[in-house]
Formats: sequence, structure tokens, C-alpha cells
Amino acid sequence: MFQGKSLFVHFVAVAVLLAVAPLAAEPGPADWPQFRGSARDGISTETGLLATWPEEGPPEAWRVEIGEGYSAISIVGDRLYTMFAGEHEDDPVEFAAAFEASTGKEVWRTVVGEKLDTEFGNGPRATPTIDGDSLYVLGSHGDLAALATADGAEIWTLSLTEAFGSQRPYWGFSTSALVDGDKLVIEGGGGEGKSYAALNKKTGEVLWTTGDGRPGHNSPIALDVMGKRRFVYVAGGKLRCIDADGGEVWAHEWPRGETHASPVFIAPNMIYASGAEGIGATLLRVDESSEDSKVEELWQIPHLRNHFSTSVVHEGHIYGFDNATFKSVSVETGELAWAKRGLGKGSLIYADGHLLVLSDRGKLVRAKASPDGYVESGNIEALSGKTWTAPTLANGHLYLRSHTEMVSYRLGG
Amino acid sequence: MRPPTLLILAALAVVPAGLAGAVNAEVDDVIGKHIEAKGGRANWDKIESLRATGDFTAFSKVAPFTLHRARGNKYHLDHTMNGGRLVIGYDGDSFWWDNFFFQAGPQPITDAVNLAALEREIELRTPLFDYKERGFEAELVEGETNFEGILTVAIQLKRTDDSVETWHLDPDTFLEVARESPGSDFGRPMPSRTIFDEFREVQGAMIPHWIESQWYTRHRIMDIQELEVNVDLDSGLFSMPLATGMALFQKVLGEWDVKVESKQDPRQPEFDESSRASLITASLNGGLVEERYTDKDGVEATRAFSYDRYRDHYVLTQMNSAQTYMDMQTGQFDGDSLIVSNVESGTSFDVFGATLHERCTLSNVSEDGFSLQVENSTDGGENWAISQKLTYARKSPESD
Repeated sequence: MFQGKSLFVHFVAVAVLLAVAPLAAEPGPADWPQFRGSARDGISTETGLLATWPEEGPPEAWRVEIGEGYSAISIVGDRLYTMFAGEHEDDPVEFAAAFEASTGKEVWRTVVGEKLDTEFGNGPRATPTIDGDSLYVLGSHGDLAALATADGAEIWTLSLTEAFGSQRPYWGFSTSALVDGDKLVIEGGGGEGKSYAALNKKTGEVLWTTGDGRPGHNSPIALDVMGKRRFVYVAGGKLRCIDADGGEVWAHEWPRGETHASPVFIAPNMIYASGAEGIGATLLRVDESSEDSKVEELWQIPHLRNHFSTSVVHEGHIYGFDNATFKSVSVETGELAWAKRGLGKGSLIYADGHLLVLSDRGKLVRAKASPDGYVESGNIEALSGKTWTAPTLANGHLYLRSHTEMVSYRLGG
Repeated sequence: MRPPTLLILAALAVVPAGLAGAVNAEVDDVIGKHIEAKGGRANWDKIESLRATGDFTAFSKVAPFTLHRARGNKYHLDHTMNGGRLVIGYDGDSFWWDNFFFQAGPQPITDAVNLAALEREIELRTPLFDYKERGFEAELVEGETNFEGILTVAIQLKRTDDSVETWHLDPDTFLEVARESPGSDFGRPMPSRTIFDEFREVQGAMIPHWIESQWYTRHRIMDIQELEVNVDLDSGLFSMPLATGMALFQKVLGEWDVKVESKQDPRQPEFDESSRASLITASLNGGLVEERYTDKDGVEATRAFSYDRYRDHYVLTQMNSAQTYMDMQTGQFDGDSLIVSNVESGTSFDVFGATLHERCTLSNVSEDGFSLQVENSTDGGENWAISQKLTYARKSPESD
């Protein structure tokens, strides 16, 4: 009996470990642990993906129903996390949820906050950020939470409106939290020095706040320029750069109204950013060689006005949506290389020499990432209805979602 | 010395004029090719009206649309945006819309920014056809021009309001590729670009079947799948509709002879008969239809019908100079009869220990007459007794 019980306990312990082990794993190169991937640049480093797509499109792995929301999909190992709206005890709420990446089977869901209802698309906006055993999620009404990746249990919560005195932006709080070392960087959206904040990622304690400005809809990026850690984002009418302690490094005038697309770092020292207003996109060069950081505007172009979708940069060219026209623009000159209409207000990522583009009505397209011209090498009607969420690529699978469905395609060779 | 100076001055005076003439000739040459490419003036002049149907994309959602046009740039676009219905009209004189964004009924468009944008939208053919007649100025844009990387021949057009737009034409076909112009985003001035594609010949005229507009974060596509020209259209289509729900009441407007049959007491075996005159008028775009009359006892009264779009019911308000309180009755159509009462509205009152409710039924409405029946209840609306039967006959000129 004793021996038998010991074996049983051992079996259970191993089973639990097996179940938990992948969740606590550090993200691998083929994972997509946060908004726009590991480096927040929309670029997958995976190679060896399907060389050609069958006429009917890549094979579908699974398809499941999902609630309303714009949150993108984050993945580490076999766990997929996203957010959506639904009902909980007859109340309209927003959930963070985990699914098996290989099957689409739901593992858990946790209520994050009240559902955002607008006449132009309901549900959560921000994308979960995975960091070890923790998942950081933000509801549309400013409910920030750290959850356990294993079961969705709450580790800590913080209301942005209460902590920073901010008001919900019309389209809802949208910033995808950024983990940097022990810090969680988030837009607080408050005035009087509380526009941005860093929290202790383990406790939610506020470490510092900085800047003024109402909450926007873009997400910050982290970058190293000449060995100096920086965070860059748009807030309060400026494209801003702060250091690891929240100190302002530089601020560039940004008269483009509300900006949804995130800045893009072009190593070693350039930053591209774009807004929907007429001024369009800007390329800045940052000089951190002296005590006083300098920022220089290299060009400003009206013909690449990103709306909700952030561009990607590959081998000297920017690929992105000028509202509803897909374009390639030279990093060096800002000149238009090509333009392609017909994909609506799409969103995109880069992988293995190609751009994976999802139109705003659910058509998935693979096009060559080349400034020489728009060359499409596969497409499929992947989703129906309004589709404003960028694709996710992890471990050879592509993941897409709309307000009603989530689907996975096998792209691995 | 004088002659050379004069010659030089004369040359200075003549050369620019000559150059201007050459430039005009060049732009007119391009416009001539454009008109020819579009099928020629004659074919466009034959188009009296058209009906287009297809899909309209807005806010990343697709829904059917119907567009009617008629000579004089008359315009009626019935489409859906983000699940809400939006109708835009132009009757040849003024613009209106029935715009779900405003949660209100049809109303004139008066905002200058919107009007300027809409004036461009309603043009049946490009303004290059008749730019001179309309007092516009056109000139070719010098140098190499393109629209989104595609080489074009570009013409800058200045309208009489000094606004400037650029028309990009295909250098091979001379059909329009795109228009870059001032636009409007909910009344806020916003540069706009409109792309024209999928040209198909319809009775000799080349008509774009794909019209895509972009401005700010907006994206609209009119994808025409069927287009018929010279269709029979109701002439009233382009006029601003009456207030929502009030079309039927147009028939009750005017001067009336009214036969009044009434009972002071429900136990009274027969109705008393009398007659009076009545005037019914409409105001607020037909949203309020009001009757005014004086009864046989000299009591002045008013009775007004309206429609409450937010509660989806009709409202009758009435008041007279004797009681001087405003009664309100609400209800719906049942078939062709409108039945309203004050059972739900809370404007009933107590008489001799009982609460008196009133119900009115408007029926048999035609151009020549209608009926209005008034009933009362003392049991909360369970049972009704007729207190008045009013028969309206349109007053003829001879009856005065």
C-alpha cells in the first residue's frame, strides 16, 4: 500500500510538472510572447516555413469561436493567450484566457474588468504580455492585472484610473504592457507626471511615473542605443523617449492627433513612427554619443499614414498601411517603392522573406518582402467580418483572430 | 529707340498670352481626350438617370447600397455604415441626410465643409467635362506626376470657391485614376483621395464601378455590381423626406368640414349632431401636425400628432380653452388605424370618483376625408364607450 501510494504521488507530481513546465519556460526564438513578437517589431525569426502555399491556402490546424475584442495573440510553448469580451454571471465582462496553442482548446479564463461597448467594436484592445509564470493583461477600462499563466489566478491588480487619475480614452485603454527586467512599463494616462509608469512586475507597486498627457492607443517599445536602455512611445502630443528610470531623454513634436501605431526601432539608431493625420510618418535618428542626447528628423512623409496597424521594417524598407493602401517605403529616402490597394486597412507581420498580411475583412495574404514590387504568393479567406488584429506566428503556426473566431494555420515546412 | 522698345514691350505683352494659350490648349487637349475616353459628351448627355446597386464598405464592414442619380446632379444614396442606415440626398437645390449618427430624422445639410465635400460626390461625370461653363480653372501639373507610384497626367482644377483639387488621369487611356481634393470628416476639413477603377461601358459612357475614398482613418468603397441608366424614378425620391413616421399625416392637412356626433353621457341613447370647421397644418418638416378648431360652444382647442422615434410610438397632445391642461396620448397603428390613449401616459384625471381615460382612433384616412373617434373608459381601459365621432370632409372651395 505504502509503495503504491508513493508511486501515485510521484506520478501526480510528474504530471503536474509536465503540465507546468512549459508554462514557466522562457520564451524561445519561435515564441511570440507579447504584442508584435519578442522584439515588438512584428518580425518572426522563424525560417523554413512553407515554401509555397497550396491553392486552398495553408492547412488549417483548428478554428474556435471567440468573443469580441482586438487583443492580439501571445504564445509561449503550447500556451496561447488573448483577451475577449463575454458574459460572466450575466454581466458583460472582458476576459483574459489561455488556450492550447496546438488544439485551440480553452484552458482557463479570468475576468479582467467590465466590457467596453462602443458602436465601432467592443471588447479589449491590449495584448497579453507573457513573462515567465506571469501574464500581464489590461482591460479596456484600465484594469491592469498580473495573472498566473498556469491557471489565470490573480497575482495583483491595479486600476489605472484610480492609480494615475486617468480617464478611459474613448476607444478604451489599449496599451500592451512592456516587461523590462523587473519592471512593467505601462501608459498610466494621467496628468501631472503620470502619463507613463513603471511598476514592480511582481507586486504591482508603482516605481516611477513620468510625463503628462491623456491616454492614447499605442504601445511603447524598448530599445538600446549605444548601450543605453530607452523606452519610446507617443503620448501628450509628442513622440517621447525616456530612460530606464522614467527621465525624459527627448521629446519630438507629434501633431498627428491620436496615434494608434507603435513606434518602430530601426537599429542601430533610428526610430520610425506614423500617425493617421496628414503629416504621416517620420524617421528620426538618435545620437546618444554625448551626455545630451540628440534627435534629428531625417524625413517626414505624407504617404504612409498608419492607422491602427504598425508597420514592419525589413532590409531597408518599411512595409505598412497608408490608411487603406499597403505600401513599401524606403528607409533611406522615404520614397514610395510600391503601393497596393485591395487589402483594406490591414495589418501585417514579417516571416521568412514574406509579409503575412491580414486584410480588415479577414483575407490572409502572403506577399514577398521586397521593394521591387508587390508580389503575392498565396492567399486565403481566413476570417469573416471586421478583422483588425495583427497575425501571430509561433512555432510554425500562424494564429489569427476576429471578433468572432480564432484560427490557426500550419506554416511549418 | 522707340520702335525697338515698343516691340519689346509688345513682345512681353504677347508672349505670356501666347504661352498661356499654349498651356490652355494643352490642358484642353488632355481634357478633350478624357471626355472622348469617357464615351464622349453625346453619350453622357443621353443619361437622364441611373440606378446603381452593389456593396458599400465602411468601417471595415460591407453592406448593400442603392444609388439613384438624375440629371442636374440629383442624388440619392441609401447605404449602411457600421450597421446604421445613412441616406444622403440632393434634389438639385439642397442637400439633406437621414443620418443614424445623429439619432434623428431627415434634416438639411448646412455645414459648409460637408457641403463642399458632397458637391464633389454628387457630380455624375467629372467636372472636367464642363469646367469652363462652371467658371472653374484648369491647368496641367508640370513635371512627372503620379498617384501612389502610378504615373499619371495630373490636372489641377480650381473651383469658384477657390478650392483646388487634382485629377489624375491615366496617361494611356485618359480615364480618371484618382482625385485628391478637400474633404470632410464629420464636418472637419480633411484632405481626401478618391480612386476610380473598373470602368465599364454603359450605353456608350465609361462609368467607374469601383469608387474608393480614403481620408484620415476612413475608408469607403462603393463596389457597383449592377448599373442601369435611364430608369424611371419617382420625382420625389431626391427631396428630403418628411419627418420619420409622419408620411400618412400629409393627407390630413388642409381645411375640413367636420361632422360632430357626441354624447355628453354614455347612457344617452343617441348622439347629438353638430358641425364645425377645422384647419390642420404641419410644421417642423411634417414632424408636428396640428389641428385647430372652435367647437359649437365656443371652446377653442388644439390637437397635435407627432411620432416619438426614440420610443417608437405616436403621440397625440391636445388642449382646450376650457380645461387648459395638456392631455397626452400614446399608441401605435393597428392596420390603417392609429389608436392612442392616455392609459399609459399618466394624463388621465378623476371625475366624480372615477379615473377617466380617453382613447382616440384615427382611421379611414384618404385625400378627401378621415374619421376620428373619441372614447372614454372609467375602468382603466378595460371597456370603452364612444363619446365623439368626428367625420372630416375636405372643404371644397364652394363650401366657403
